[in-house]
Amino acid sequence: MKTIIQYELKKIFQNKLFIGAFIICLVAMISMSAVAVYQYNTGTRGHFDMTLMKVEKAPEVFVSKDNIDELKKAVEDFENRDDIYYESHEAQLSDYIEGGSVYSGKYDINTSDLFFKLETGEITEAEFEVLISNTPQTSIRKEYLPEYFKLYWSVKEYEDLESNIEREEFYANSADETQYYRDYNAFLAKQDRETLEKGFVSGYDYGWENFYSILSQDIGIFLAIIIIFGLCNVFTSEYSLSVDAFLLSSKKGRGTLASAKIIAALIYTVLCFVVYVLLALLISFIFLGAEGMNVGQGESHLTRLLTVIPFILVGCVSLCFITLTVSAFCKKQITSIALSSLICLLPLLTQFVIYIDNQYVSQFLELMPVNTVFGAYIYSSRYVYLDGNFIDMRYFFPLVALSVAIVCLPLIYKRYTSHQVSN
Amino acid sequence: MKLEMINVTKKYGDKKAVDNLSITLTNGVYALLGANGSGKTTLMRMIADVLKPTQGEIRLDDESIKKLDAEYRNIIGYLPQNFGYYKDFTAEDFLYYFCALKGINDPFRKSRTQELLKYVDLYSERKKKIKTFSGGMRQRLGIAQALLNNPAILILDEPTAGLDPKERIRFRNLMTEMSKDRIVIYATHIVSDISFIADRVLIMKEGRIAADGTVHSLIESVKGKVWRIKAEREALPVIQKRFIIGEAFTESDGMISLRLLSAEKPCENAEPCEPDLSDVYLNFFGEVSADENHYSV
Repeated sequence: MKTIIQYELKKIFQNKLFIGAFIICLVAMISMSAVAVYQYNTGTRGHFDMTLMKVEKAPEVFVSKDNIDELKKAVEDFENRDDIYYESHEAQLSDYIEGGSVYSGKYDINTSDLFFKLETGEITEAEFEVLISNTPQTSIRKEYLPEYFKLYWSVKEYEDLESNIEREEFYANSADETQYYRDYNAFLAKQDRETLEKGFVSGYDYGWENFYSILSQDIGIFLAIIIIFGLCNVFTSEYSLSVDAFLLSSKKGRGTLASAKIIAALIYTVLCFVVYVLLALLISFIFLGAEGMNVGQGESHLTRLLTVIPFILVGCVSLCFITLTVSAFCKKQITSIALSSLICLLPLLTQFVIYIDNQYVSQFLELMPVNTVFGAYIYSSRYVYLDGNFIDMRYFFPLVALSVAIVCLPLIYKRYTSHQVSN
Repeated sequence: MKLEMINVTKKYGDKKAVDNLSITLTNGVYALLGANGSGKTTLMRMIADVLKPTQGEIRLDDESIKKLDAEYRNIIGYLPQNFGYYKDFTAEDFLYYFCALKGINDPFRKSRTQELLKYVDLYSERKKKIKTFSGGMRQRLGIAQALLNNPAILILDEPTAGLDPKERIRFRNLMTEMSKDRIVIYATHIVSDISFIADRVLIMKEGRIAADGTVHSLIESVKGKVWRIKAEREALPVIQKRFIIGEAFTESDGMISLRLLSAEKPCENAEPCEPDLSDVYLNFFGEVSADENHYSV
């Protein structure tokens, strides 16, 4: 068995389709991840360099209704200091840091809130335009940054939660909305209220979060592609190369070989996954360094993010089984590639290209393995609406993977071992 | 050892590739002779257990091969008619891989592989990738693959296709050595390959065994039917319509010398000829394959 697995792996890695897909995907993954981290490093975080934060980690703060007033006061005092500016100070940029789109200090606007106010008629369109376009940017001294973030982010996150609850409760009680949307908003409002009641930790682990954000970005599709392209020929090539007669007339050329192929495919899948995770880690490390990874700025999602890696692996294994099943049924390479790609990647297309107005269909597609690999659920909490309840989508991923395995494995064995050599 | 085919039928749609065929094979070399489309390959595939009969059963020593499954496949060696390779494998890797699939483990794996590579004259090329091999070399590698497990039943479908005359003779000698204490089933449409090695010749036509006998008995069956005549070139179309013509060549005087089959003396100047297996083949199929292109109808 061991020798057969070794040779099956050799076949996978010698497959030109795999080699081509691997090179293209690797280049694409590195480029896209690098751009994402670069943007994180410069643009989206304002006009400052993350290296500035290395010297002092932003301290974590426990925020709750008990200390929020105290924190608000501290922010107000900070922002009213004489050496804080709310316009661009070109001459002072060497000493100062401008907040850009991420932080605006006391002039900060919550865009979701503005849209909500516009929708509910609280503000006019003209007022909306003025508010959204004329936000002065905060410029502060570089050395104030850790202390400022400690206060600013804590208050901002608390206030964001409060405005979220207001919006969510509005929609939860709106007769114009569907039952699903009302239930969903009621559920979110309940969650946010609980967070406010219990309190939360702010200012921690943003750097590591970036590592996970790489995993949750579009590059997940390349991991899926490498798995599909690498495995779509596992059985198909035996048929298309006309080697099947040799194999099927051999003592171990049926059940044992099918098992060896499945094991080899799983090893390949795990290897792809490991390379993928290491690559994301390496890119984060190159851009942020070991220190940068611990820089704290935002609300910690670490507990949630830690579940990402096993879920991605579960998704990869499911994709592996689906692709192998298609491969066992297809005699032509082109059919196998096309069909595997269609089955595996279609749920992704429906999320981004085709809008589906049915939450059940939409949720079903979100549960498909490619979405587990793609990681769209990583940042935003996703729920499955079942019998009036909202259940964390992640609970369903192992069930989906198990179902895929239960359906696919017997199909692979049955199809391959009963394959008959014909002209 | 006894290999039986009992009322074996294989249908593709409405067409019967093998039609209710029953035959029993014991140790020896069986030549399966037939034109393209006569059902040889289908029958070989069923014997090799890579194709299931639509009806009927194949048994080894009174046990269904379906039931024997891996136990049966463990004792067979199969060289299909058309087969492919893993182009990026070396010859040695290819055989090692099939050793693993045939359950041949270390330390026999290496010795058996080397022995067979020498046997088929590929030892010096063993580290080369198969994609660099000629058709003949690939065919020899396929033969080595079929022999790896020293099979008790050797199924060879057109094994000499792509081999040059020297390699063909070498293979024929190899088969003579191999034929002891085993069943060798050798499908071909090249009659010269089997004249010397077959213990029994089975002629297949339209999915059935049209004739079954030793080389000698089959040749005897056409004795007195083979003639040589000389004719004007202009008369050739008329003769072709009336007789099965085996061999034709132009004589120095411009006349055409023809070897033909006829139950009665075809003309006054006809001379009787000593028949051979190709005449038997012609008697059934009225033609000899393009590989033996000195025959035509």
